[in-house]
Amino acid sequence: MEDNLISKKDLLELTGISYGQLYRWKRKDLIPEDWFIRKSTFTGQETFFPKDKILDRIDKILNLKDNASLDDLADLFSPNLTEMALYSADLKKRSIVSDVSWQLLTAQFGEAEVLTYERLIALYVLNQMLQTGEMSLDEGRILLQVLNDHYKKFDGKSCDLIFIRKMGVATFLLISGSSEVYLEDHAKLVQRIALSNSIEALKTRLSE
Amino acid sequence: MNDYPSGDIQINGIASSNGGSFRQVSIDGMGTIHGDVTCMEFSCNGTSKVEGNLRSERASINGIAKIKGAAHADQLRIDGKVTIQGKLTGEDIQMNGHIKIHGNCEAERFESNGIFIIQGMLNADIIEITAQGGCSAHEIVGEQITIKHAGSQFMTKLLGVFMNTHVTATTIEGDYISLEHATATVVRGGRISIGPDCIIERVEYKDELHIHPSSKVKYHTQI
Repeated sequence: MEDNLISKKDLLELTGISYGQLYRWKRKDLIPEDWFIRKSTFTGQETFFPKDKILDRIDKILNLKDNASLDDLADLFSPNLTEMALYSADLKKRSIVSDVSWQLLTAQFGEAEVLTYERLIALYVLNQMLQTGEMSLDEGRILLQVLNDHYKKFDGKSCDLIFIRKMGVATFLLISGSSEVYLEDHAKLVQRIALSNSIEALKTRLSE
Repeated sequence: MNDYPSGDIQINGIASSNGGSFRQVSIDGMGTIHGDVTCMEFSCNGTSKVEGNLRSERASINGIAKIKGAAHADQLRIDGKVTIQGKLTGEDIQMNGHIKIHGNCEAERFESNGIFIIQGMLNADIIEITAQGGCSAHEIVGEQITIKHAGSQFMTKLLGVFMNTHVTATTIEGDYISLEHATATVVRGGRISIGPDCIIERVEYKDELHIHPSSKVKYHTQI
């Protein structure tokens, strides 16, 4: 993790934004508080950021800010579950997820006319994982169950989904965002997905 | 945030009330509100205490107020003494008097004429501080930061012998910074002007730097 930090000074220079902009975005919750990492250096205290995340985020803000207000962007980036629900028919029509993942969801939780936001995220993540080809349908069922049972407990905080396989047995973990995980040698980390990224992607798809 | 119920709280004299959502909350005298309060207009003349969070579109406090939780007001004007245990957020914050915030203070515009103690970060687009005594914040960040000192040079120097009359911060960062009577470990920004009587350990600037001869800057560098 240590190498992937960027200091505030370098960040401003690299992206060409000003202190005013950076802090305005922070006030508007476009940049989460926990990305501001304070460390002491020989020149006193300095602020660092997770490099890939912050560069990606600033790039997005700069691209979108001409067409959307800062408040709209804040909604887009926020990991909170919004009060949004979607009609299943609507979702099918827009072909955001594949039929296979759709069938898996209805088999597990039954047919529903309206999808809650949580279920929508579960479905989207399932679809994402299936598309990588690294997860089987059976494992998809476990995934749905995990997200259904535990995702709510994070209460809008950012969390990561971890998919581990050991000798053919698969398991899923939900951990709070950007914490470190170490595995024994025989276990294989198949995939790690930041759910906040999936939510962002899903929101973008929905707003199209 | 646009629909408020038609109910008001009005306290004249000494009274207390439960929290909730109101159109107008006005306290003249001594009032205590138990719980969170959301309102369009909050006005206090006298002493008030909110034992929870305060959220209001317009708030004006004349006198003493204590808020146990976080406070948010689109427009906030303080004349008196206010203590906020949580963070303070708002659009336009104007204060004359004494304010103590245990969390961060975030606003579009922050104007202060008096004394403040902010234990977290002071973050606003435009920060204008006229210090009447020792002010402190952990970090002061924003686009345009102006720190001045009120009163005569002589009185400041005289008082300065007995107590700290500086504005103190660990870090001051902004695009345009102008300081007087400030103490900081690091000042970073685009255009920086350091006026009289500042003690700064390190200045990092991009475009321009002026240092008044009576200020002490240990080290400065252009980045």
